[in-house]
Amino acid sequence: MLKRSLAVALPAVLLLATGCANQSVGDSPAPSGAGAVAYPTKTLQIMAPAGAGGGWDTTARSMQKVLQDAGLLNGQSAEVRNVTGAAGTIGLAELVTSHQKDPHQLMVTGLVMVGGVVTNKSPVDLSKTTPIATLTAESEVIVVRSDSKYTTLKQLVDDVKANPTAVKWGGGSAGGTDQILVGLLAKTAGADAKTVAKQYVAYSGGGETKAALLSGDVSVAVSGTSEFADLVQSGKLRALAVSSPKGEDAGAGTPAPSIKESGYDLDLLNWRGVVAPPGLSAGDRAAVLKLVDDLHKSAQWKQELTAKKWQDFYKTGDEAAAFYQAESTRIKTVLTEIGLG
Amino acid sequence: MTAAMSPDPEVTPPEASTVAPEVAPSTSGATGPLAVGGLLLAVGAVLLWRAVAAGVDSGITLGGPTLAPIVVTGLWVAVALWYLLEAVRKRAVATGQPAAVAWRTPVLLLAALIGYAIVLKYTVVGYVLSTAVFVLISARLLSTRPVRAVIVRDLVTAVGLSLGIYLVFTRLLGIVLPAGVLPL
Amino acid sequence: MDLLSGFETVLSPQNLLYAAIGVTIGTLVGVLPGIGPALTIALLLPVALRLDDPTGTLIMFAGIYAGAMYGGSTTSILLNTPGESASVATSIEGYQMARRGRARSALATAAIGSFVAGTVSTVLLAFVAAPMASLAVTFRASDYFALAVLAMVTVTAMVGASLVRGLMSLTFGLFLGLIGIDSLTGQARFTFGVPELLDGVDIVTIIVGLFAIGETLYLASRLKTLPETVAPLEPAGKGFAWLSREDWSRSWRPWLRGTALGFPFGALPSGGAEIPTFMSYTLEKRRSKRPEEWGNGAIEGVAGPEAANNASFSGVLVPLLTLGIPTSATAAVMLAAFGYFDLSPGPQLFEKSPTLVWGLIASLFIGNVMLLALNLPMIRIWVKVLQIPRPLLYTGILVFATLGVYAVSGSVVDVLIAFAIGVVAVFMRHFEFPIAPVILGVILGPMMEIQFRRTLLLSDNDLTVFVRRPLTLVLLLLAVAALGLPHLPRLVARVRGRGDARRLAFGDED
Repeated sequence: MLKRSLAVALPAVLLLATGCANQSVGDSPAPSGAGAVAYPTKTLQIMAPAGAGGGWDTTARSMQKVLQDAGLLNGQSAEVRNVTGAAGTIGLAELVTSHQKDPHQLMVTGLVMVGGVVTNKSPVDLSKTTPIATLTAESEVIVVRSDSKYTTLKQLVDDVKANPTAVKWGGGSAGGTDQILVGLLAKTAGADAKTVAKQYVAYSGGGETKAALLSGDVSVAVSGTSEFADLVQSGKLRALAVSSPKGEDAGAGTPAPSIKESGYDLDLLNWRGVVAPPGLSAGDRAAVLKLVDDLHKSAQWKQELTAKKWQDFYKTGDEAAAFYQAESTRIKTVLTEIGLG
Repeated sequence: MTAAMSPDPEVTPPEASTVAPEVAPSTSGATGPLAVGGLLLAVGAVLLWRAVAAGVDSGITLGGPTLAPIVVTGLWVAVALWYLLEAVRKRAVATGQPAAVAWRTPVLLLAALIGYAIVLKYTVVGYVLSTAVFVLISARLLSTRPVRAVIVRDLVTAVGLSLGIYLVFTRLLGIVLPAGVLPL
Repeated sequence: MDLLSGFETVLSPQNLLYAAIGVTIGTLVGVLPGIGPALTIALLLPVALRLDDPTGTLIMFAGIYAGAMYGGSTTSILLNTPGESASVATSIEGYQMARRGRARSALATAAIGSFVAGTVSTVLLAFVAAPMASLAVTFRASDYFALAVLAMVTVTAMVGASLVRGLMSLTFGLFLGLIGIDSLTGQARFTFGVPELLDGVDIVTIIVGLFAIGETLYLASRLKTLPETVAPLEPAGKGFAWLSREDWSRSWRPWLRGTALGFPFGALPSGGAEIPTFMSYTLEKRRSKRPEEWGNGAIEGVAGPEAANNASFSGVLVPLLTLGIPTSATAAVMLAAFGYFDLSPGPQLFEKSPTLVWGLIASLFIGNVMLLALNLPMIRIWVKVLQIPRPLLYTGILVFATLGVYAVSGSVVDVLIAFAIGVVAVFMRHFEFPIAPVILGVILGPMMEIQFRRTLLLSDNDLTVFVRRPLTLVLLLLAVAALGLPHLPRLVARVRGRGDARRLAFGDED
């Protein structure tokens, strides 16, 4: 699935990249060439396009910390600023309109923003930025109460296929990663995706979702794997499947199967990455790419990944650009199909 | 909403100019509530119309997202109408005029606030300088004593407050505030 | 026992420090006019998030709430202008006592009464919270809807002097709550094409607008009628002889009765502490054997209301922690604080973060001890605080208000929205529309709507679910009964054959 859309997206991205390069040669001839040595030359601004405390904010602050601790900033410092609102699309719009060609402005992004662009009908999307890299990912988990009749994902999906309204799903905000996963699963399994997605009840945060699952309001819940790990471990919930390509431990001590292993050709990760403003010169882009590459290679970053329980999910440069493009296409398609686009 | 929130001096009730010598301690006058009621009703009607239009566009169902806006704005219109009727009834028996209210100071203060926010975000003046200037202006507007008597106190507060906040937020808490032209 | 582990949490040096900072800031804002606990907590949110310590932060916030209750009594006794609405009842007899040279006794009965009430009510909270939380585990969407209806009815029934103005405030709040993306379908409502409105209007923005900006601009329109600095009465006397034996014997019963009123009323969505303080005042006045002293400084009139307003805080925490339902403006901001830390108050909180919950409850005991030590011996410092020149105080409030909104959102649009709400608030104050129903409308409206629609979604649009589920039905019937609540004093008075009973109504910021 992923590879297929990647193949479709790659030519488009290459076109885009060459377009960028041409434009930048014309616009700013001075620092061209790949030998960008002195970077950053002033304070590096990392924008977290959401409020303090969330995943993007944590990612931005981890980056800031590692860049400084590992001494990668050429004697400069890094600042994190928060621009909240509308699944990050307000920050995205600011990056694209106010900071063109500025290599000292980076923004954290992720799957949620890809969805937010679609659901909020944002005029600006990630293709307007200069993609730098993806950094981390977290898997999703599908759980039921331990007294549920479902013990495998297949039983659940078979029921849903037979009667799309039979199962009520709970998870995070409308159009977010959790609902996208439900829509993709229904679509991949050949169920009526639009009707299934309508049975999805949005809750604000994992605590509310847990309460709804335990009280019996919903029969299935979808969330980030770490969110439910404690209840899976205590035996109150059963993990039916995780959304990563391979099965992983969702709290029970033994690996839960992946959706793919359960027979549905689908994986979905809640990834996070970095983008730069549009119009970067080739030299600037190379310099930013090198900085993020050094960040990723550092021992301090490995420690952050372990501490925050993030999976290492590194794609850089053209590979990252192609991935952004592929995810945008896939998410837009499914959100439109389930009526949120 | 935009209408309700704009500091339009036209909708300001006329008490400010017409202060009767026999001042009653009440703050709501006779014509003020009428103007407020009319404004509330107008705003409510516009909002209700928008809510109904949105409902007609995407369908009104019991479990859908368009019902609550219609209910709330409908309630708004009903309550505003009730308020207006009470105002009309009270006007008939109104005796006193409200206490003197000077609208000039709050309007100037609001202008200073808006200017402060815009300078902060869109210029290179920076946090410390713009805050210090705002403190001076605001303290002056809110004071009833002559400048000479308070200028030293105000200056010390302006510099101390702006610099103190800036240093605590940026150095201790890691919250970014625009540094601006000062070499901080 | 859970509470013991809570003490273990709170007795760490770091959390003790948080509690100390909280009660000090709380006393400060309680003493100062123009800034209350809800606004303070809203302004501290960006700072708190940076500290990245949910337990410590919430301990600090609880300290602020409790401290503001203590501090408010100081201002109302020494100055006759209550710092908080919850202290209005205290000022009636308290200021009279101060004028007659008995300021120290008034301050002492207020502080010790607050301590007694705070301690007793926290014990009640500790006993009620856990069973309540395990009951709440079984609550479904329809039950939460019924609870929201019950809360809404209580709010409406107690909107104060004028029903129509209270309803208008509530409606304005309901409208503000609608702005933004509908959380169930992702559809934008009343965003007027402004992308910053897609996430709705943040509660911090609303509180800053209503309280900080609104209050300051309102004051600016009335400068001529106000003195620039105030002259509080100095409490006379030295040493530790605060309460005479007679004062003690006249105070302890009102303390306990105040506690008994404050705790349950705090748990009701009625805007916090003002109703029980007035009920306590009325109750003590009726029971008094010395009617001639009332209006001339009766110590019971300070002891009862002060106990009631402190007890109400523990009451407020019961629905907040176990159900995620805020019953006052300050509780609404605390709910927002939980949200910022990605914690949802409710039954799950007790399972997921027992350290936080029990640490918070235990911190109330510690905070009460600290407040007693902070208030009585150091009263002179707080008197000094009262003398901050008004132009500087309000300018400071404006600076912190702008900073608070800007630091949370990073967007000047949000700051301008706060100013706009502030302008509305000026007119609300000018035309005597109450402020607190706005906050409760913003919180309760979406809660009610979303739970209603969730229920329908889960039951495939079957409306009978609201009457088929017994718990839902009971709560809805309670809501009907609550319509009569504000008339309760009048009914009681009629039964007893007295006439002067006031309607119950709640105040602005507690």
